[in-house]
Amino acid sequence: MGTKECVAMLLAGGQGNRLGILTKDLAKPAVPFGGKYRIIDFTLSNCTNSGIDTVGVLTQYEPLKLHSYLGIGQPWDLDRLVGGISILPPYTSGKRGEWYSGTANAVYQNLRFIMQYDPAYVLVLSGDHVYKMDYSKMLAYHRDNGASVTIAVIKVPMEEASRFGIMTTRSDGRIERFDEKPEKPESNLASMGVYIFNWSVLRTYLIEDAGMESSSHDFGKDVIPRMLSMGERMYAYRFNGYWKDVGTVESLWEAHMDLLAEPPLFDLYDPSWRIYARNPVEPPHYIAPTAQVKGSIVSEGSVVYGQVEHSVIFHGVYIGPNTIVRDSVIMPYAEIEAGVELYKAIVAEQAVVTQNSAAEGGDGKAGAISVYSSLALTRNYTA
Amino acid sequence: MGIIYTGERNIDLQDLTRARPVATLPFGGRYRIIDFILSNMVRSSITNIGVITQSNYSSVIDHLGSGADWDLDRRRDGLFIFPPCSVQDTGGWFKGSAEALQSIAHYIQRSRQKYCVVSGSHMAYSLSLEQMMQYHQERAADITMAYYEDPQLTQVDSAHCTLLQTTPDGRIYDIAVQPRTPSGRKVYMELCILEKELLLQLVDKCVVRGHYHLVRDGILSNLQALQVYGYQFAGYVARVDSVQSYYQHNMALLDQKVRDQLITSAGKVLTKVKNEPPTRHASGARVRNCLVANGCRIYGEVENSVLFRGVRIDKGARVCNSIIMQGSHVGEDTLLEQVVLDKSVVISPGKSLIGQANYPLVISKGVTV
Repeated sequence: MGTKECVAMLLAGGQGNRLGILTKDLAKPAVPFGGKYRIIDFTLSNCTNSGIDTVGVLTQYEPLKLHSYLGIGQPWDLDRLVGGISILPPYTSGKRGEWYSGTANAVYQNLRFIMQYDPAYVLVLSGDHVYKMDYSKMLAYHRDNGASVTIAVIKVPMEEASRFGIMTTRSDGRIERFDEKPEKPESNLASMGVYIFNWSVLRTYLIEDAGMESSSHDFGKDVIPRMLSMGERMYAYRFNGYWKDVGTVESLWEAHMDLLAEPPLFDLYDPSWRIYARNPVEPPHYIAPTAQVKGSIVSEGSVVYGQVEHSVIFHGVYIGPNTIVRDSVIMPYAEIEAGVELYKAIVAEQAVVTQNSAAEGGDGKAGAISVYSSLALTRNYTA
Repeated sequence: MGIIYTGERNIDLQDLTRARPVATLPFGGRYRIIDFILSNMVRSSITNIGVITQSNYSSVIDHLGSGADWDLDRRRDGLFIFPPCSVQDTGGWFKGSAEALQSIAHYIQRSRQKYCVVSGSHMAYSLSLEQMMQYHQERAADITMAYYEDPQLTQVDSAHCTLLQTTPDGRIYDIAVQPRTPSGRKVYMELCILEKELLLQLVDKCVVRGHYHLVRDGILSNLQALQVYGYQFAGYVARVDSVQSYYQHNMALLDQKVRDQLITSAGKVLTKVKNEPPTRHASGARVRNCLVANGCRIYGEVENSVLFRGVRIDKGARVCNSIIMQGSHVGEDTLLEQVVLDKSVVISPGKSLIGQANYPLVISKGVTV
């Protein structure tokens, strides 16, 4: 098999339980985002646009929809003769076999996958962030510094810093300190969960980590601190664009509202950085004479008879007459029945919202987000 | 197997088909006309499809590609695109459908299927070829030709059409190709089913006698000898053979009943996938009764119109009863009524263009006004 300079390992096995019923039977990276995409599209498109054509996708939690969505990778140009996309679920080997017990363990269990390509670098990514980033620039930075590890970082508000892996760096970018979710953060440079490792270094530490019983086999908690303590050359790569962890109902909703800002905080229309996705086969959307659509994003196959304001409408959605949909996110093939009024809501794929269920959801005035799915209605996610 | 002939010349679409065959004329916000017959075939489990091209066929090749978007990128069978090639002494320019079919006789011969569906490419409809095949077999017909009744058929129309006359039991007893005076209202849909052996015989007989038109020279002269039946189709047929009919049928799609019949009823209409983001309706936009494809950015006012992918309508623009094709840009403070903008047209700020409902104004591809 041919060699590759850089192989990407995309961690997509997370359960995403902070998304509540949205991930009841769906892996977090497969949650719909941005009117026609799924969250994983952004990371995959970054790979394609950065010239990385070998991507291992590590899956574990509820993989059915995610696997069928990824297919052979054709929508992202990842159906390649050598490389391309490889879906890597946990497996048994001989009489053994185990689930992925942590992010580092997931990569460790697939060392042989990486070995096939004998890469110089391994890019570790996670499938639950929305951002546009040129990994080739980060790789150049990594190479220029002669680093063993480079971690992409972004400035976050100080009060949120304790949710992230926080780094302290020297003026040249070299990392002096790394704290995973510190109670009292020393800086606000947060890890984006995007790492570049020299392959030989990564392999050594993963094998060592696998033998440590005290380890939780996690990059942020175990492997990165261990590398730092061993004096590896580790650099922080500053990213200044838009980046959002959409792992909670609030942040998922907020990120959608960011798309609606004028001009948008996150631009989907940039021809030099296209976001690729598996495209549904749907006719153009139809806006009826009775409809009023303002400040919104609407995708193909939808039919709108009601009033839509400041909302994201995915493909195949039906919005009946005499409805009001405001500050909401309506996911694919959902139906909003006649007379329904929705404020600050997320409606999951294929859910049907009736006047009764909408009344229960509240008016969003108290700052709460209501989530509707075909399984249940959940209220009071505070934004 | 299916064969689509895209070289028909009984149409008058002026600038719209100057650089492309009617088969790849954009239609209904995100389709090309050929998508409809291709989708009919694929939905009816026909997976061996040959497309015969004539002039300016680069857009056909660009649109169809490997056939993947129609699920036709197959090891067995799949999509075959045939550029024009010389038959006898034609020099690569087909005078008609029989010559075109003769040029791919080898492909028809070696195909594994017994039956052949032969179609043109300027009508959009959603028809089950399985039902039509069932009718063909129940009648033990040699040839079954699909038709629909057009109650408003005019003299102008009939000069573009082939009209059929049938007995009460459906047998065709007369055919008129592009008559100046309409003989009845049964318009042939440029769609027929027959066994491939018969097709090859008819085509060969035509070509060796210097004839070139399959229906006129091959079928019409054999109405006595062969069992030729008409299959009536009751659904919506968009016959696109003039600028007026192109405009009318696009506008008709704003009616949900027409959309249901043409696009949503029998399943999806497949087309080439474009990776466009969803459409943005800005806070100042006002859109009423419109079909809008993905990738558009709308800041102005649009009513009773069809917008294709990636169209931009700027602030203060007012677009009414118009068709705006892919990638066109309508500048600020403009007024468009009854206009058809071909692809990548730019309307500069402040301009106004007004056509008439029975004579829409067509702006050619890539023009800046």
